[in-house]
Amino acid sequence: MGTRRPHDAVHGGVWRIGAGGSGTERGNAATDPPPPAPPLGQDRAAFLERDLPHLFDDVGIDARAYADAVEFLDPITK
Amino acid sequence: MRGERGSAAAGEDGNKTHPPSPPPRYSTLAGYKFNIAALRRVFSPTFILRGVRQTGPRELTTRWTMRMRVAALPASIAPALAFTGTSVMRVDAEGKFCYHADTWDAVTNQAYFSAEAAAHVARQVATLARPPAAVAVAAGDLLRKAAKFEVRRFETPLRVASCAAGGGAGFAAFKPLVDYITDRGVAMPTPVLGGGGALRFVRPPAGAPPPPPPPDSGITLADLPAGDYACGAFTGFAGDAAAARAESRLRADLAAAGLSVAPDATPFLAVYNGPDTLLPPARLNEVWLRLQDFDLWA
Repeated sequence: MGTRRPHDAVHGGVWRIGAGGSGTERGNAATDPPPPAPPLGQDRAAFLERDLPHLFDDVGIDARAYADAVEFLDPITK
Repeated sequence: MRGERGSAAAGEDGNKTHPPSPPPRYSTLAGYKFNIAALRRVFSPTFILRGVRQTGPRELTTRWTMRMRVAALPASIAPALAFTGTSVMRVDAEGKFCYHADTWDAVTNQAYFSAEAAAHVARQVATLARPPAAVAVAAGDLLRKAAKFEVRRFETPLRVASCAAGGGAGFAAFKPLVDYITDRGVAMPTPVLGGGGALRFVRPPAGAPPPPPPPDSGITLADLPAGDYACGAFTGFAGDAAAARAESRLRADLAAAGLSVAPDATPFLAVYNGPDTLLPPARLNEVWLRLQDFDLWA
């Protein structure tokens, strides 16, 4: 399989999304099992803390943590 | 990849012959990722996550700083844009993020389409008063960009070479400081800090201490307190009257925002441009006031 992000290796036990495979491979909806749905709380905050710093880099956000429909808005975008 | 790791979106079949698809709606995951990718391509953003807090049963709020510039323009001329704010992120019943709403610290009307927010962007693009790009700047870490001031954190004391300003807007102190700096081969730093009866050149934050100043130069080495500084910008030639007006405005703006100035704070006047910048709107100055108990989340 592909590479793991360093922060997934460190924190993978919390969110369990970085359990192996490259980003693209892990995100294949046709073959990947659905991600677990842990209760909202510290684990989700920890996920954002390690995922959002990749918002604009080559790693990117982990799309599997997002629903198919994401409502986004800011003061000049909707 | 551009912000789309783990994508399940259309168009990932590797077929490069497909014509480009129209931009998806932002209410889809594909649209959300398109927005991120477009921002990255056009503005080369730098995103700093300050923290994450749970603010509801299915809701988290993040706080962040984002800096951007137009990627297609040389850094020397590209406008630098900065935003700070929060994002409310909600999850659905499956625990997946389904809602993301940004608020900007600089605007009060957050609702789309906010003319106030658009004007905030336009002002940053259009301003002529920018820090010179070629010299070291004591910038601090931008925590909050409000409409009328910024809050920047200096984690460590600002090391300065200081000289009594005397009269004439500190000109008497300028030459000995320049001689002291340039004799050591150090580039002229910006901003130059006035206020409190002294003129100060900021020294590099790290490295060996410089040699002692000549005994008869009137120069002393000092540390200005670390902390969170409110910075209010104004343009033009920064005489005493203009600086006093800017300080008065900044204090009023801070009071309106519920922020407190440290009782022992010395007001500093930060001047970014040398005398060779003649056009007043291109001359950037700031008043700095150290804050007391600044709460990033308040």
